[in-house]
Amino acid sequence: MRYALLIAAREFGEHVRTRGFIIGLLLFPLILFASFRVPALLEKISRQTRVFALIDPSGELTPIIDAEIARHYDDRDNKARLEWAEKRKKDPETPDYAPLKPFFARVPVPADAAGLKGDAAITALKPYLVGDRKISVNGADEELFALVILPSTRVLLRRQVEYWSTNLTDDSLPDLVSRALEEDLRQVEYTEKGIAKAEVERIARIKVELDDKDPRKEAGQEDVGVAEKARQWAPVGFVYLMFVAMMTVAQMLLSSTIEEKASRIVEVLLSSVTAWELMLGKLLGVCAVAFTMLAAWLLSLFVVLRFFSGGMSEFAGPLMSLIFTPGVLLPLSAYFLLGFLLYSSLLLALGSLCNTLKEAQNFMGPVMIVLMIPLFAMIFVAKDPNGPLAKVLSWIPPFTPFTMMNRIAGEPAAWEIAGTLAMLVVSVALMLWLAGRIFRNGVLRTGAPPKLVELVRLLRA
Amino acid sequence: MTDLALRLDHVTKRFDAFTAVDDLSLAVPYGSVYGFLGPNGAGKTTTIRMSLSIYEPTEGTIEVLGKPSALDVRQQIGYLPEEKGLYKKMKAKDLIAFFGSLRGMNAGEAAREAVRLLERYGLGEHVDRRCEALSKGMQQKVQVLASVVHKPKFVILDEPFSGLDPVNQQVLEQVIQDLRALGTTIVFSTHVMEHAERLCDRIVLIARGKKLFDGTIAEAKRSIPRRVRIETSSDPSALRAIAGVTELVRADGENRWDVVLAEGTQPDEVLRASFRSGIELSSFERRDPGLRDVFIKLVGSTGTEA
Repeated sequence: MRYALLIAAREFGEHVRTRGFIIGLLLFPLILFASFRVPALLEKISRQTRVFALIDPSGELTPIIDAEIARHYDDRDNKARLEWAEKRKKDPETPDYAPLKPFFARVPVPADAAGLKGDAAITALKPYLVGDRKISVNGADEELFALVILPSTRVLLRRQVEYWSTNLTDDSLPDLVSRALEEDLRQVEYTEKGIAKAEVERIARIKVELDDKDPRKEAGQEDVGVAEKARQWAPVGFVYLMFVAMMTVAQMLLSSTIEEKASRIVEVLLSSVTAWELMLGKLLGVCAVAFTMLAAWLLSLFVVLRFFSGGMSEFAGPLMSLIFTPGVLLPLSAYFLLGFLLYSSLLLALGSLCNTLKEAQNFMGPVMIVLMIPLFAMIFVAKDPNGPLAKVLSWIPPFTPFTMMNRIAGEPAAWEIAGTLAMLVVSVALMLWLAGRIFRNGVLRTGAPPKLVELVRLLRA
Repeated sequence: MTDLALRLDHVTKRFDAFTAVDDLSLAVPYGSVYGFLGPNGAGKTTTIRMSLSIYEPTEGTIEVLGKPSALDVRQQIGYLPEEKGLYKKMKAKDLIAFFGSLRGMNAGEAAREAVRLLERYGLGEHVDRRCEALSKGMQQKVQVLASVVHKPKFVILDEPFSGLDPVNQQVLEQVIQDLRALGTTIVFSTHVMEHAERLCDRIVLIARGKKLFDGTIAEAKRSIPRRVRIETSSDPSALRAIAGVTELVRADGENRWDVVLAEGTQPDEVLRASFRSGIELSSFERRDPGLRDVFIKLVGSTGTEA
């Protein structure tokens, strides 16, 4: 065992000192932090006011669109004001409310295109639309984001509205314009048919809201909140985490085995340690790497959730309570460790048969496919953690760790946890035994990787 | 307790249908320097790997330092494989220390000895450099040092000289001489006869998995006849008649001949006979057989495998 530990220590030292590992370690908390904080921040910074012009020959439709834009702004502004007021109540130091920047601003058609119609107007405005010319708004030069050309009469509205813009992905402005116009057309029809608009709106607002209840909870407290739903989805993150960890470490395992093989260091190693000690040492080494990574990630998850979750704090609490309870953390770690051993011993055996990474990639293909299955099933298992798919996958060893981790928030029966863990232990032992035999014979092999028939012979040897 | 560092008893190794080593017996005494000679594919490396318990023999038994498996005595064995490689990302001293600790040294001792060895063999400045930053020759030196850092009783070097420049070959010879001075038993394989001649007490010659010769260098040389090379413009065929001359063959060049002598015949007899027969010699050269001649003669008769 001492020798296996020496191998493990070297393996660990070599991997944790690589730039890739250190970057990965630091990147995760950064991404996590960013995913909580950056979207709002980005919205604040990057969302510029979209400046657009309107050609409205009748002059009747401009106020309708202006009104819709104003309504849209007021909605956002009111919401922000409420949030601010909440914050102010909690923390009187909160700075005074700063009104939001509007998303959209209609500007008059530039002077040189004013009064033009049809193609002439488009020709005159194209330089503004493609960014060659700027439009002056309150003294500042702005880019004209879009041009909306309305027909001369309402009758043509359903077919003849043109929306000119170089931005093909941001639908918010065209949506807003069409919403305003549709509303107007509906209004016209209501009036013609003699229907009261207020009545229609009232009817349209009819809604049935379901009250989510969880029968497992105590009487009187069965309500299910958003946070609890988030809790059910959290394990998906862990399945994904394990997948990423597997992929990272698989690469390390394969490349280090192949390096030792290609450089024939393995010969010196095998004159000092048995093939079994060597394999065990390498496995322990990468396990230590994976657990360092997992521990670092969990720690950063804890820190980020605890201190920096910002507006997401309503999810942070239940997430933390889910992860950092022994009933979850322990089985989660056990599945992680066993799943990890299962796959890494398989990869190690495969690595021992290859002389180049390229050869190894060929073997990796089928392994990847197997690994992808629980990833594809992830959403379905999370939706129905104790359903038939989840139950079946739980008992197929290559999928067990992923599926059970996925189900953990669904509180599978204790016998299922115990049973699948026991089955996994047996599978891991079997896989280690097989891998040991392949490794022992494979690691000194040179030449092309063996065919299946040869592989069977290697196992018997 | 045996007085042999390595004993192979009727050892055979087959890989599927191919027999790499065929009924090989060998006895390497303690303290000797033993050369494994043979053409490529002769079975030298397989024999070495079996001696180190990297392979199990198909038949026969092996004893290393009196134990049935080299792993039982791994602390006392050093091994340098034929194809030399290192962990590229490791520092020279860490690498040597790592292999030292795999051979049972404790970490501190291994680290100290690694630095001492690097300094002793001219790599003092490179102690903290990563192996990938070293020249090929330096890397090989590091590897040799890694195989002997734990002061083994028994060292096996597989083609240690291949790929080394003359200067580094000399350093390696020095390492071997130093080990010999410590009483270390050394087995090394080579196809460079000069090294074997300079360093070995005994040699074993293997071809196609079979042992062709096993003994001292002197015995090896005695196993093939001595020769005399003469240069003459006259007809030397009269020399054939002399007792003690077994053969007269034209050597390279117009007027050169090799006179092959029977065992016990002294070269001067050829000289005297030439005078007697009126053969005018413009040159006369004793050609004592080297290990190379032994090699070519013995291996040539069995054919080689590339």
